[in-house]
Amino acid sequence: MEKDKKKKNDKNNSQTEQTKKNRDKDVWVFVEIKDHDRVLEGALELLTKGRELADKLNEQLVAVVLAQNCEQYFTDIMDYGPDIILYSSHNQLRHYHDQIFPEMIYNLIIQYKPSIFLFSSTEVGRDLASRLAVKCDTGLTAHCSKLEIIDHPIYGEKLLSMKRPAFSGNIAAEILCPYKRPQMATVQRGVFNKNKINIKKEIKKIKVPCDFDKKKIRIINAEAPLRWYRQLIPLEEATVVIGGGRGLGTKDNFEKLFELADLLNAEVGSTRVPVFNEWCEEERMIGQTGKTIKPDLYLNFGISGQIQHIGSVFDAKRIISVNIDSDAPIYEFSDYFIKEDAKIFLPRLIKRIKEEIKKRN
Amino acid sequence: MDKKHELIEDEYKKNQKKKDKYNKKEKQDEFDKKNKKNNKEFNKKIKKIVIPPQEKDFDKKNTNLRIAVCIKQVPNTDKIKFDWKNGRIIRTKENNIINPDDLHAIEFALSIKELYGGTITAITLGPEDSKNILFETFAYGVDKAILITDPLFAGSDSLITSRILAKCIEKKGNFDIICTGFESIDGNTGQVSYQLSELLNIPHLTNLHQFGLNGNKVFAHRIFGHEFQKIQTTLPILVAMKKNDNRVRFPKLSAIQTCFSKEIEILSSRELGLNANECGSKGSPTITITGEQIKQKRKQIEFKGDIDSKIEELIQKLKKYDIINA
Repeated sequence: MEKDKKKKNDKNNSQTEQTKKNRDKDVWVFVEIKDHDRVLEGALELLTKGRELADKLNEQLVAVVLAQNCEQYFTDIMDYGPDIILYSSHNQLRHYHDQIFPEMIYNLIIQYKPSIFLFSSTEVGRDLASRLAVKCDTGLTAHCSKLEIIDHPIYGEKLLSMKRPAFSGNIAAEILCPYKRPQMATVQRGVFNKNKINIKKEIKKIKVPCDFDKKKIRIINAEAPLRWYRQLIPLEEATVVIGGGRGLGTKDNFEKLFELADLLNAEVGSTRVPVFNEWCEEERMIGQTGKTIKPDLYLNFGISGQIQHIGSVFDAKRIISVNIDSDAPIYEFSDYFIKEDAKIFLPRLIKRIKEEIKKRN
Repeated sequence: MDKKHELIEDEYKKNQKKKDKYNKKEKQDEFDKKNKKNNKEFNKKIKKIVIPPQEKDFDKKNTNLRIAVCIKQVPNTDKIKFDWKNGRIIRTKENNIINPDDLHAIEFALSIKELYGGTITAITLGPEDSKNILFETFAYGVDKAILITDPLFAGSDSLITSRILAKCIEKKGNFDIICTGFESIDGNTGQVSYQLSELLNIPHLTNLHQFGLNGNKVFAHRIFGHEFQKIQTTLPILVAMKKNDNRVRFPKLSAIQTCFSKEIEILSSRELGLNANECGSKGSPTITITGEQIKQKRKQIEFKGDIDSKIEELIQKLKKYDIINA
């Protein structure tokens, strides 16, 4: 991680960059359409955050939608208060394509010159944002946990400050993109809240043509693609989440968490280690590259508490941890700490809870 | 196999008509139950992605494949110790490893070399210490190694890293397959593989289930979004590997003994034609400022007594929060 450095600005460079900085305006949000079906939840959260940023800067909020038939999603998007919707409907846009989407959006950026561009941190969002960062020669910050408009004494006024937990300990690194535009960031679902806006106003809808040359397409489908069904695990909506980590040791021990989850009406999440060792699916991973959750209770077994994991559970109401090592980082972040071996503690806890439920009945 | 595919396609079309806007749980559960059986075929994790050449169509002209693997030295985040007072990690030289995703990329390159032939070059950008991971790649079976190092490159962000790697790849020229890891365990951005593919203007493949070559043509099965696709494309390509895609082999003892004596080519900013304003922290569009320590006021109360009394206390709490009905 770099400390605050004072840049020696070449005078010529900074003048052209200053004019660029002052000329570019507006907050843009890429609204991804999921499964040809519905607007992505994370995109709606970004629209509310984008509205907040745009109000502070006194600029407009623009939603960018590319799909086969965009009009059906307008009612959902308009509830979240954009000023303009830039959209394009075409058969080629039915599914994300890594040559068509970046080129179209790049042409829009050159034409309208936005100052800020936000993406939701999904497979599509990360692909699209990385490619646009190369085309626009600008900076991209991944997995932000906070976005604010600040005035910096050295780098200028009204800059977007992007914060993310950094690997080097428990520090939230602050990242700025002072000279290049647009300032880009990707944000995970669940970090911000979504709020509908009840004020009625006129929303401009601008249609953009799509004419991408088919000959340029480099990947061809040999057969018709098939639907891949991902298991939907609603971790973000659960009030009680039970987490398991390396301390559980084996797959059999990890599977006892599911028993406990049934008893408490909870969902099971995990850190990176169970996913690598194939004890559970990828969709259960909680962390910087997994999911962000805000449950009422987070009860975890055998998790040491690395910042990439704990950073996504910060806003849980209560955290109770079971870990044999009281020097583990998770001690600092727990309300209640139990210094026991998770492998031994878990089956006994399940037995005891079953007895309690029998007594009640 | 074909009948099952037809069944799945029929259901796909039926379900396109049902427009459930925000996934009602009951309907999704029914859906999942029906399709769990069909998914078993797709859910089998194939540990060897690369299939051998199909003898009828195999074109022997292109066996001299040139494969490049881009790797990175990272600190071992699992074994790292934190200095909580100052909010920093305690860095020691022993704690540096190859990024786990990059090991899977090396495994992919080695399996292509076994079945189709070719030469593998490992490339890394980092401080001079990164020589150690290049020696490690020789032990796995890589043929050449390039270390790109220069004090000017310190503090580069992901865009500048991708540019430097792209320049090196263009200079060395004519690589057919470039393998990278999907993301690193210290930065976690996952941007470099996409940016490299954009700079070199070559297709980007991830989430592969199967991969085969026939001369200049590539045949692959991959998962792209919510679709399982069977695709065709032509060389050159870039492949980004994730941890669950394949199993990394163990290096041979004989290779480990000889790996430290092999030569590594070293490149600096002069050979690549980059000046100070294009790289390092000066050339990076983003600036990182160390912010505040993340402090959370949690109660940090430890339960005391033996294991049974701790269980009792925990159950009392669960009753208090209305999770178990008292």
